[in-house]
Amino acid sequence: MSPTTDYAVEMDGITRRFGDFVAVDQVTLKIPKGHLYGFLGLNGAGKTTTIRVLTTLLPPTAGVAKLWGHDVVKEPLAVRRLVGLVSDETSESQSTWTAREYLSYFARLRHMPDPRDQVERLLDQVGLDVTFRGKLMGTYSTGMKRRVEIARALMGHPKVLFLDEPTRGLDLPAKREMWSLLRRLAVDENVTTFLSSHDSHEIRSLCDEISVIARGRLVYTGATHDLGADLDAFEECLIRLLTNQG
Amino acid sequence: MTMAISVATLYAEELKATMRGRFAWLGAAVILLAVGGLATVGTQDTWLDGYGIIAYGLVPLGFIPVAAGMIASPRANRFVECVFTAPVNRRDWLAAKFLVLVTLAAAYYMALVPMMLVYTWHVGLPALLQEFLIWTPGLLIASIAVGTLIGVLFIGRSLAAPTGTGMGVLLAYAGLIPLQELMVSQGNGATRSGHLTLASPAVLLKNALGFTLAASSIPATTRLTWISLLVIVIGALALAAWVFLRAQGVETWEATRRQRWTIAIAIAAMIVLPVMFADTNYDNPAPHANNAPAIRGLFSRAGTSMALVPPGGKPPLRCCSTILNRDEWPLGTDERTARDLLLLLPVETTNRVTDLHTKIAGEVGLNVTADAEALVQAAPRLEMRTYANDSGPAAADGHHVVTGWMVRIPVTLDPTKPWDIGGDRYPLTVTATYQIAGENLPRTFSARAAVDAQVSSAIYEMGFAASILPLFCIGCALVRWRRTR
Repeated sequence: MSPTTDYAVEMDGITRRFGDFVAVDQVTLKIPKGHLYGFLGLNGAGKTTTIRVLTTLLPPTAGVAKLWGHDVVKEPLAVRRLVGLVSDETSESQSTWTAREYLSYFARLRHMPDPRDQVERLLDQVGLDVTFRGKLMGTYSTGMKRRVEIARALMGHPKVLFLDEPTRGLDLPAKREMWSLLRRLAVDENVTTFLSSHDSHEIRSLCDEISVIARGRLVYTGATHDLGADLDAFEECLIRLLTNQG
Repeated sequence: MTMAISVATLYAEELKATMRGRFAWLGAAVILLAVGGLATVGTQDTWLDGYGIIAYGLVPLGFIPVAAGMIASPRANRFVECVFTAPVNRRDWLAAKFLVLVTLAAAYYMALVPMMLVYTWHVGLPALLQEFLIWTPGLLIASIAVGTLIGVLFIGRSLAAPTGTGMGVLLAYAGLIPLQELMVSQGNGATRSGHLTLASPAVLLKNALGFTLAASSIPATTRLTWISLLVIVIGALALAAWVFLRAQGVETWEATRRQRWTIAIAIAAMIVLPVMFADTNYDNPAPHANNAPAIRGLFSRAGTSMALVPPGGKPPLRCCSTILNRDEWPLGTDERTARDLLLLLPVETTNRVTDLHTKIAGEVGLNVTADAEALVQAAPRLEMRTYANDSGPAAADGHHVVTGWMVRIPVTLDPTKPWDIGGDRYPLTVTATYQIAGENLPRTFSARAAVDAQVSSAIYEMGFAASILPLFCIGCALVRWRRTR
């Protein structure tokens, strides 16, 4: 772990192409440690691609990205030790596993001591009811699956937590419960959280600092409240940013 | 050391994960039940020709789509996103996946052992089974290698493409086995089409080990065949690893133009090199599969002039198959079975038969004892038999007997030293001389046929052996269902 940087995330000219299509175009961004940072954009703007580059899932076509000072291309294992990722679809993949089995799998991959105890602690932390922990995840509600995903992402005490649209598909109570959970985690775990969403209300509620991405390019980086004092003003400003681009 | 620990952990977790699939245990039970059921039914005929080819040849090739699916699945369902945001090295993960596949293959191989033990307990270890015991692990490894390559090549959200391709390759590889046997049997093993059959690792390994399933000749040399086989197996594994680690990301193709050409050429080489260079000098005689007597000609469509019936029984309506007991249960090996042997003399009942002398000789372990008086009869006890539609035996003048004499000889049959657990056909030769009233010289009756025998207890023993592991799998499925519902 590099102690020499103040930034949890550093991107310098990150570009990612898929053939002729440029999904992320020369994104440069620095996120200080310990922030709950918002990453806002429309569907297809490049949010997920950016997260996938930062979490070593996708190599950048050009540019340099570092997490906690570790290059995502040159030191993928070091980066993976530092990150946790909650994606909106991965929880569907192992529907025939129980939450305990799912988390134990990752606890053992991380060589955590007392994996069973750790799993129970994490499930306590995200608030998954004990009666459901031994049942197949395919029987869970979307909110419960998302809790399990967050528990997995928190495993090994990550320094940077990437949340890719963590509340998509959740109903309002579940969404608010999830927000409350994220706030609590940010405080309790002191983890830098990179929250990607197209939900302006969510971003505005949770994050003080944000970046806005449109068609692969960053169009705004700064304080959330600078975009508007209330949600309406915030959203109008966002629409202006997004439509003026390109 | 760190890598070994990492691979070991990944291997253990992935192995456990494999059996967490919705129908993993039940699926294993169904496959083992099917294979075991085939082994049990196979006791009723030549076991290795039926069950053996499927269990030791075709099912191992089934690991092609299995491997393709298992490698492609974590990408299709995006589980790799979770795995590779944990501190997991992709090289270790691929190695662990490969080891899991090898473990499943080994488990399948071990699952065949109870049935094999029942078989060898009764008939020993015939040459073909010895070859199968080497052929099968070879096929399993080759199938895993090819399946892994297919699984790596197909990146996508659907498993249909990799498993479908795996199925296609499986069918091609399996279909080339009988094609090659046929072509070699016809002397066309070295033609262009004959060469094409060498694209199948199953055919290559069969040639390399020097055995056949039906053909009568094997290649005189095997060096290039072994090399071709290694090109496929090592080539597929090496290419899969290289593509996975160097030409792909976690879920995306990252290959350069040069890498794409390299991959295409490597795949083409794995198909073309064996076809072009593997040995096709089919000049050596194939070894015998077992100790079965070479009596193929006996079982042609032609009938015979004798029948085997229960003591005092009527002759069969359709007469007479060269397998004397084809329409009834096979005889039990190492058991004495009383029957009446009926000789259908080509003599009309208008003629009188005297001085009948009969010799009955069982072969290859078939002991036949007959009533001594019945074999030597001055005035044989004759029965009349009427034949319909010219189905009677041909008389000396060529006409088919319409109402002829039939001789009944009580015999006891004891087939011993079986060479297979079922479908043992023991040859039986009967020669008889008899005198027709008014003729100077005695006539000769000669017939050759066979009796079908099997190890009579084998079906029960095989059924028991075949049900142990499926029941275990069903038990595991039930336990998991109860635990997680």
